[in-house]
Amino acid sequence: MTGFFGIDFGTTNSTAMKLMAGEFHKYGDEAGQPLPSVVALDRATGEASCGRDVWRNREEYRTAGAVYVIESIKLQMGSDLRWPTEVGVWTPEDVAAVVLKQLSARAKQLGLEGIDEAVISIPVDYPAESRRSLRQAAVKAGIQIKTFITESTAALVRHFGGLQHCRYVAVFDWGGGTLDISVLEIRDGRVFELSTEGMDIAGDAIDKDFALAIHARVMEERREKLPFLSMPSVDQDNLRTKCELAKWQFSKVPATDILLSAYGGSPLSISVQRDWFESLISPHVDLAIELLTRAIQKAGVSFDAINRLLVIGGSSQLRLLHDKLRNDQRFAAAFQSSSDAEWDCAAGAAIIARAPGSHETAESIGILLSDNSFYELIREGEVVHSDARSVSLSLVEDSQHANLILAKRVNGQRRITSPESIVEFGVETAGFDLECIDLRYSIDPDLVLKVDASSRALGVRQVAREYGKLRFAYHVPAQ
Amino acid sequence: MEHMNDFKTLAESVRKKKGRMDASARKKGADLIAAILIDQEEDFKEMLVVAEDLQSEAVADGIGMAWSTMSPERRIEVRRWIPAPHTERAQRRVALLAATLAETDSATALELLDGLIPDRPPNKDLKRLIVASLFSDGRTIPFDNMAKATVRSRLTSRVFGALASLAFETTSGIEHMPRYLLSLGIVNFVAIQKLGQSSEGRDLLSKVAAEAARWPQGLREKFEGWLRNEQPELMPQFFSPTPNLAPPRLSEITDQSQPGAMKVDGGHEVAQSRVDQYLDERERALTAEIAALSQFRMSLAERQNELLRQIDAWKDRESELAKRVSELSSSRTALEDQLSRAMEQVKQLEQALESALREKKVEHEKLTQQITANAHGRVSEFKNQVALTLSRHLVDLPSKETSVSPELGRVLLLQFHQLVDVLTELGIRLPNVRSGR
Repeated sequence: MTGFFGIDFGTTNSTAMKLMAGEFHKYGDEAGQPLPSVVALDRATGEASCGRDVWRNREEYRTAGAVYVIESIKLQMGSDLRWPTEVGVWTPEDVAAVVLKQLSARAKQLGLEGIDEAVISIPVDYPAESRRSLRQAAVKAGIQIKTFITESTAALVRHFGGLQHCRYVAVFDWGGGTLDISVLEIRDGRVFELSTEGMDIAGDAIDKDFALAIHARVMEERREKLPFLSMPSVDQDNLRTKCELAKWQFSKVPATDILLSAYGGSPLSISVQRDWFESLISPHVDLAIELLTRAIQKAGVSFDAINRLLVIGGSSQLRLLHDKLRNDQRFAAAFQSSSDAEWDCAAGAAIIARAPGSHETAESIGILLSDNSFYELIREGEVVHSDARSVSLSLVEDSQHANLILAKRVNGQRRITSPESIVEFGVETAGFDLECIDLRYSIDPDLVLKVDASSRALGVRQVAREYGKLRFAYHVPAQ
Repeated sequence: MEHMNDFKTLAESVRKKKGRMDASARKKGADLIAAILIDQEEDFKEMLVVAEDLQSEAVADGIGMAWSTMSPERRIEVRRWIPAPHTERAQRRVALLAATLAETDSATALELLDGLIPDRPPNKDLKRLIVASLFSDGRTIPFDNMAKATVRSRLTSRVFGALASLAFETTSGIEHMPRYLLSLGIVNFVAIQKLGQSSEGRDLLSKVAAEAARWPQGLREKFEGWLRNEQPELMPQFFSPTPNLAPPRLSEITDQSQPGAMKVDGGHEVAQSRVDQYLDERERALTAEIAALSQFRMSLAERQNELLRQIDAWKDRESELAKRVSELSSSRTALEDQLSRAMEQVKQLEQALESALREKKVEHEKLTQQITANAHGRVSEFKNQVALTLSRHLVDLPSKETSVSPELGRVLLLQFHQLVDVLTELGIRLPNVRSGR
């Protein structure tokens, strides 16, 4: 029996889910937790590893300097970053492949079946080059990407059974590294992303701030003024670990102790009250809620129109966040917390792997003609397919150079926008009136618009361009 | 089967006694034969074979007893079994059977006698046999029934003629009463068949007249009285001024036609008159015979038509059966094809089943391996989770050689309690650890 895999390739943690016979199976690290997306690369041997041990010892590794500790590789995909070792140079694709291979190996270890193909969730505005780079990484890991799906849409699909009647849904995804907020519109089974907001303040930052605050208290008690970063790296790591443990304890108990047998050479024992902790992180939570507010406003819908506020991600389990959202009149009615917050995106991707839907353009794409009119090439709501199409244009004046301007606009029910230029490029011409210019265009599986043009008179001298920031709606199949 | 077994036992017994049978044995034999012939379940053909060992009287009695009750098919079989009268034993059996059947089936009796009596005058042994079978031991043959039997009149006439010749001989030794009854039968036959004016009728009546002349006065008067009451039209044939009106035999006429013979009747006119009379009678007889033959021909034509119809019917039946056979053959071929297809399908299904079972086994093994791997993996995950949680709490565990200050001791004690709490949260209960620490 074959399952369907979905992968949430996260900035801080990555997860994979297999949907088989109606049941979800989780694959993360060896402890059943999300796999930390951190890779240790031995500078000498070129051996790479990832996972919980690497994450736990990352500061120690950094201090030792024998290995590269590569975090947040997701944000580096498509970049020019390289990691030279004595046996070769590593690219972002090589590093990401280590994480994906680890997930596949875990799946094979638990279910005798590695990940051959999967749907991968990505952020809303994940760049085209990053998507392409991620696809190459997956190929290196032996995984064929069936399609990409945005993380917010994947989370919505995971809970789609209870959201079908909703028109507007806000997805509040607060993980270890980032907070991503999307406002989605569900219309005729299609999911449109109306707006997105995000910030880099998430779980790791909270842990760090918490550790800094504890460090400050320790220094105050000890009447010392050593900065946190001057502490031994092991002590820094240990304190962060204890602070993270204390953070989760506060969801159950009002007070806990942070204990270390040695911190700066002396034992550390500090009792911490939840109120104090929450006062510490309250600015972060308030900022997150402010971002949520902004995203909804940006989407052009009222708070009352938001039918559901779906709160997912590891850091979204903070008790203070729940309390604030529940007590906020704007969000109280729509608030919904996921019980499996760190696995929702992968689960939604697995559902799509089983019953693939389709991407449709959420914008109209066309070319601006000499009279500034918009000549539509790709309709809004058109199912994406990679077959190239072409159109013939002609010069209206004698010129050795033709400027082509591709633009997009929204023709949706809510508003019609002015064309917005997205690609501009010039093509050499033979220079006679009514000379024919052939323009070919397509959208590839990585959802990148590809265009090229050439003068028919000059033949092969083509000019090609890409644009990877088109917006798409996702047609969710009936479930 | 019980009768047959008894019959076989009786036959065996008779064989041992070299064919001798007393009265009770004959009675038993006759009863068993009759019972076997009547019972459709019994194998009568085997009985007829075994019956060769029994005395002809017993066999004849048995057949006679069953004759009117047995099925027509069995009668035909028995008739076929009756031997041709070429030996004395066969002649005796036929004669006794004829005598027995005369009471119940006069026609068959007449046919048997017709076969028994040869065309030429019978020899002395046959005469004695016929006399013994038909006229002795107080046997009263119903000659009157024979006279009325629906068989060819010529056959009856021949039999009656032969019996009359035998019985009316002065040396036959037959008593007057049987001969009287035979005479009545003959007269009735002539009257019924209206043969009074025919040559054969006249011949028969002349024999009776000659016989009657030899009877005692009382018997003659009885005959006359019977004749007057029963067949008055034949009275002149017996009791007229000219007692012998029987037509002259042709040979006599021929003889009389000879010049020398005409003197016998005293004149040509008389002779001519008798010739004319004879010719008239002959014409009538021939006319009647032609009519009878015509009727017989019509009957034969009808019979032929009937047989042709039957042949046509049988041909139709044959054609129908051939068609049916053809249909059944086609049906059989179709069924064989169907069976072949079904067998092929069964084979395919068996192969599919076998394949499915193999796949099931493989899938089962795979699932078992998956479940086992998953179970082991999940247990391992849980262990790792516990280890991870504990390790995060124990990231700062001092080495064993570390000297423990009161402050460190307190930290370690609190950490120890945190560990207990963590284990409890993970579902690992520590029952011997007391609360109220």
